[in-house]
Amino acid sequence: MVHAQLHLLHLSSPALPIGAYAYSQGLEYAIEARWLENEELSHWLRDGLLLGVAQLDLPILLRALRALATADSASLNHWNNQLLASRETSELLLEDQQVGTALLRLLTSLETAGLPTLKRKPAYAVAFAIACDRWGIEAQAALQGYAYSWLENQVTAATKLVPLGQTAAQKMLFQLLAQIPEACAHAMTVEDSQVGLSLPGLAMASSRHERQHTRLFRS
Amino acid sequence: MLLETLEPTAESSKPLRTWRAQLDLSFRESAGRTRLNHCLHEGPLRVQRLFYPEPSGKAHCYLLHPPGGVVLGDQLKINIALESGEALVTTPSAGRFYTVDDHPETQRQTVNLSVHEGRLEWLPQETILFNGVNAQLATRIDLASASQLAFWDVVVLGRPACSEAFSRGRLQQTLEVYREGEALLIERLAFAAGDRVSQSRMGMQSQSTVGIMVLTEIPGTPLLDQWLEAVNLDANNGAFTVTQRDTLMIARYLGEDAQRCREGFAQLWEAAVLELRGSTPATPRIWHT
Repeated sequence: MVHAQLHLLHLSSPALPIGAYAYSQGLEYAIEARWLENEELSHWLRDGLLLGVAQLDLPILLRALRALATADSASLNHWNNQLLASRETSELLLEDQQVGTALLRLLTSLETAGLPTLKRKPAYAVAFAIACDRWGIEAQAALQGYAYSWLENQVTAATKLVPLGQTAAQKMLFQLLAQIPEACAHAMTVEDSQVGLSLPGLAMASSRHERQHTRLFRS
Repeated sequence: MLLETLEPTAESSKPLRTWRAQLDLSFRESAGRTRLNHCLHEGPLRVQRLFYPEPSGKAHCYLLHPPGGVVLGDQLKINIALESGEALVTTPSAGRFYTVDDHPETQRQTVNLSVHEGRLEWLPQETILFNGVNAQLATRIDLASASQLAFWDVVVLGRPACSEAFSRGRLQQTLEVYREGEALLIERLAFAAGDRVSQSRMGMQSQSTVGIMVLTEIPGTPLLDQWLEAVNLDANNGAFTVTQRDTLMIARYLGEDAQRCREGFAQLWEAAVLELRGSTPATPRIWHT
C-alpha cells in the first residue's frame, strides 16, 4: 500500500491535471494596477494565506474531513455550499467549482467506487478533503498540503506576471513557507460561526480582473 | 420602553444606558397597494406613514430610530417580511454607533429580511462607526423561490468629515443571503482598527468607507459597463466594482466618501430598475433633504 505521504505529494503537485495554474485570484489585476511593488507582493501572498485561506478554505477543509470521517453527507453538503457562497466574485466562484470538479473527476478515474456525491459542484477544498479521506491523509498534513499548493500556485502566477526570476520566486516561496504552520494553526481555532471572510481589496482586484481586456489568466 | 440602567463596571465608571429595540414589519399587497399588515415595535424604533410615489402601488417606508445612535449594550433588531407586492425601506439619516472604547460589551444591530413573494428593496443610509466602537452588524436575508431583492449596506469608519480617524475599535459585519434555505452569499467582514485586515491591500486598504450592493435580477453587461465608466471617473476618490456572480449581481465600493458610495449605488439601482421595468423608480424624497 502506498504511504499517505506519497499520496499527499501527488495531490499537492502542480502537475496534477486540474487546471489550477490557469487562475491568479486577483493577482493579475493587483500587479497590473501597481498595487504590489517591492515587498507588497509578498505581503499580498502572506495576507492571502493568513487572512484568506486560513479563514475560509482550511477551516472548511477540516470540516469536510470530519464530515467524511463520520459519513455525514448533510454536513459535507452544508460546508460545500458555505464555501461556494463565500466566493466574492464570479471568477473566484468559477475557479473553485472548475478546479474542484476536475479534481473529483480525476479521483473518480483513479478510484473506482464509493466516492461521495454532492448536491452542487464541489469546491476545490471539499474535493481535496475527499481525496485526503480516500488516501488516509491526516488532517494536519491535509491542511499543509492544501496551503502549500495554493501558495506555490500563486508564486508561479507571480513569476509570470511580475515577472520574477526563478531564484527570486523560490526565495519568496521559501520565505512564505514559514507562514503555513501559522495558517494551519489559525484554521484549527476558527469556530463554525466565524468561518468565512470578506476581503474588499481582493474582491475589487478580482472584479476588475473579470473586466480586464487582455489577460494571461482565466476569468 | 426597555430602558435599563446597568451597574457601573470595572471597565467604565459611568452607568450604562441600554436600549433594546425591536421592530417587526410585514408587508402585503392588497387592493393595488403594498400595505403594512403587521407592525410591532418595542423600544425606540419606529416607522413612518408609508408613501406611495408610484402608480404601481410600491410602498416607500422610512425607519426611524429617535435616539439617533447606538451606544454600549444597545441591541437593535429589525425584522421585515414582504409577503407580496413591492416595498422600498430606507432611513432618513445615517445610523450611528457611538464610542464605547475598551468595554467588552458590544453594540449590535440585527436585520432579518424575508421575501416570500414580490420585490423588497433595503436601501438605508450609511452606518457611521465612531472611533472606538465595538460594533456587530448582522444581516440575514431569506428569499423564497421567485422573490427579488435590491440591497445595499454602507459602513463608514470614524468620521472622515470631522477628520476623526478610526484608530480604535472593532467591527464584525456579516451578510448572509439564502434562497430557499440554501446559501447564495456569505460575507463576514471582521477587523479591529490597525490590524492586518484593516490595512492590507487585500482587505480594507486603510480606507474609511466600504459598501456592498446586491441585486437578484442581474442587469446586462452594457448597463454595468456604462455605470462603471460613469462612477469611476475619478479613480483616486474611491472605487466601484461589480461582478455578475451566479444568480447575483454584487457591486462594491471601497474608498473615502460615503455620499459618493450611496449616490453611485443609487445610480446603479435606478438604471437597473429602468432596464427591468421600463421606467425609472421614484427615489425616496428623504434622500434629497
